Amino acid sequence: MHTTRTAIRRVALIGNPNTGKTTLFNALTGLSQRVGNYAGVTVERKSGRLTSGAEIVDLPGTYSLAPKSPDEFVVLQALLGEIPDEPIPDALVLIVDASHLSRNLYLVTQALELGIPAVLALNMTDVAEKTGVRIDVAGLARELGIPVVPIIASRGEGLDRLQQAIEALEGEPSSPISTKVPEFHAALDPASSRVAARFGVHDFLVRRALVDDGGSVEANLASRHGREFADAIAQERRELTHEGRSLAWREAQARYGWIHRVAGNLVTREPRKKSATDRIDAVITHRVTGLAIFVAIMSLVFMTIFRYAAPLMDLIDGGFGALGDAVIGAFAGSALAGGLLESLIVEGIIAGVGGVLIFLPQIMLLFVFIAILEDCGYMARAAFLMDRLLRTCGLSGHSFIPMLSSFACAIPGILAARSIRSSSDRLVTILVAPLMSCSARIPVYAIMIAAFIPASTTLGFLPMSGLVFAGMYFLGIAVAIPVAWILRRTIARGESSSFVMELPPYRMPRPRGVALRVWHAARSFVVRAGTVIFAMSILIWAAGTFPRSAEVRDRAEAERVQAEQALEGAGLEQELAAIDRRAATAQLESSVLGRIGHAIEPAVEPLGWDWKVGTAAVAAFPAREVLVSTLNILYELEDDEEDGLIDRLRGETFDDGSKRFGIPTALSIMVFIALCAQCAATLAVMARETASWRWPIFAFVYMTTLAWVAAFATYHLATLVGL
Amino acid sequence: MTHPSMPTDSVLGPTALRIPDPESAAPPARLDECRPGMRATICSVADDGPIAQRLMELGLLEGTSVEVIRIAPLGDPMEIRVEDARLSIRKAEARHIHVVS
Repeated sequence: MHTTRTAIRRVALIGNPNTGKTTLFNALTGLSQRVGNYAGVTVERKSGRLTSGAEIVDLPGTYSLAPKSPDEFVVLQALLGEIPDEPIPDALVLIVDASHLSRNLYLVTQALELGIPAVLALNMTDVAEKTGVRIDVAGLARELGIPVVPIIASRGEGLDRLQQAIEALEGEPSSPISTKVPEFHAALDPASSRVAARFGVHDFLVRRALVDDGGSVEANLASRHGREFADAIAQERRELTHEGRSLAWREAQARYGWIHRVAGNLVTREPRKKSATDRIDAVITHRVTGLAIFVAIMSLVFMTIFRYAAPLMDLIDGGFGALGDAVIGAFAGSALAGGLLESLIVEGIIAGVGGVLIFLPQIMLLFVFIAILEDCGYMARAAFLMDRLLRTCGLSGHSFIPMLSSFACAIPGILAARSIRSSSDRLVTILVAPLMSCSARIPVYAIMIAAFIPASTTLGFLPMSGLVFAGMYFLGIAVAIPVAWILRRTIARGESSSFVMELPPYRMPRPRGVALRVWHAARSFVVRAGTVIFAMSILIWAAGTFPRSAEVRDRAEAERVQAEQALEGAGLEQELAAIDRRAATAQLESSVLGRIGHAIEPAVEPLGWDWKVGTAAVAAFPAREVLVSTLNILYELEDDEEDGLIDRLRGETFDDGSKRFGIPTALSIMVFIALCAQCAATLAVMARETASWRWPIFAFVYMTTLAWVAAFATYHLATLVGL
Repeated sequence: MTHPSMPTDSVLGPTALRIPDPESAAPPARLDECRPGMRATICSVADDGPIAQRLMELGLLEGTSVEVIRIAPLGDPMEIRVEDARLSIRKAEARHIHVVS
């Protein structure tokens, strides 16, 4: 019988959160995974290959098919084939945690109504057995009407049988829709068929719209089919409401009625004993020890990415510096020495690649922590501890680690936001993460403080410099709170899906899972964001290099000839170096970048800046650190001559001889740097994580505006009080 | 202390709406008012909107027993045990649930 057998080409993996879904997915697919985004939404799309060659898609974890957030909505759309280029899956793998079978079966009973051949993966049977839970597997398969395969995903047990069971679904007819709650459907279906026929919408979606008052489906369909649809739903819903009981209540009663009856016959459990998790939790979530442990863990995470990543980053930095020097060395003596090609390779390409890879140590180290904390179950506790704090700005406890990481660098911070389940929370966290003062801002703060902030103390003991430094960090936080609050109530309105969160039992993290997580984070950063960062570096290099000014070159040449005639020895060397610096400055000034700097001078003048600072701020777009090196060029200084730049900034005067720079200008520059989005890498990662350029553009505009206004206010306030 | 989604009488019955007197030994009627260590049985879930639906989907139905394990150090959310699972639930959500001990 080989007629019309439908091969299993696409499999969807669905299940509740914390059922070991990702562990199973990793175990089934390994390195064949591809991570992307569903078009237009910030929902991750993970897929991979089974041994049969079929594609398996890991859908976001959900408790039901009654979506209340974009992530959950994607699950439903994917299962119904409502996503462009995503056909209906040929088979479903429904994963459940054997210890929490009843609650997990809720989603299963809904998924069975899709009419897609399915297999149940009964996971963590070892844990269940240890806690005295016994399940009649054959009986469960009989009741559900689908194959049930006990597995231990973390140890890879039962996976062969699971793959065989999936392949065996081949040829299985798209089963007639099997519902476990026929009475509920009998009451609902006439109404849903009416609406579905009238508006040409999938029956399943109409049922959801009817039942899920205030859910995602109703909102989505109403926005597509207008008021008429909303009215029709409201009308049918009114007629279906019995004795004040909503459809949602009736659905839950019906499904749990079936589940409790089945589970009552098939599941036996010994009385609960105090578990290891209970004992650990008594310490970990305790009001004193819990908070102390939390602070200790977070300090370790922060110190690791802030400080311990530094040697690795220096190594990369030094490596690319040495590579650049080697190229210069190779060019030396040839006709191309000091030419355009050398400049492109050294300052464009090598610096660009280095500018991408420099982020890898922080990203990989942070993801080691995130993977471990998430796998062992601590992440949920951290969210439990911090939820109240972050709720003041409309977020939830899940945003804590992304925010903390952003103090080292916004890029790992934004990547860390992946673990936030609510997509509105994730979006807001991503949008405010760059407001946290990252380590790239430190050189700018350091130079400005050293140059302009007096070494005096205030209140007798607090050093002014330290206060200003701390103030910059505080500023980011102080601004982020109201910004998050406003975003949460305007563009990112919606549920906080963390409203109910499971605190999973503690488990040993699997090294393989941790390694995969780190690998995917690093790879997706380099491939998806790295290319944009690289392109941006080349662009800024070109803007600072072109057009080549013949006038500048000729003048420098003439000066060199003159100097060679007049001087010799060390004096000549010095003079030639000075000529080169002057030429570099003049070349930069006549380049596109310099012209932009001049053009925006009217915009930066109210901040107390001159065109040179403006140019440096534009040049710093690929990376903030560049601000300092650009100022070095503009003020005709040798590389790494920090003290020189400080003196130069201090000595810079207006035409009338008055000091151009003072404390107000320094503060204004620092405030601007603290709040602006002058970081191409951050914006590129933001685009990748939100799957659209809309959000990075929004972040750039709002942050630049905010930075300008704050710098303006700072400059004038500081001038007013006579600093 | 009124809540926009305060349940109506038809859903809850009059007893559940009674505000407990802190002086008396009467059990608190709302889950968010329960103290750690307390075991109770759900007598109703305010039947409206997505939050209530999610609670019911998680098995917080009439007749289910819940135990308050602890309150987070900052006063919110609270950790409860339902059928062997630990759930973190914000007090704003817990107030949808009415219990009797």
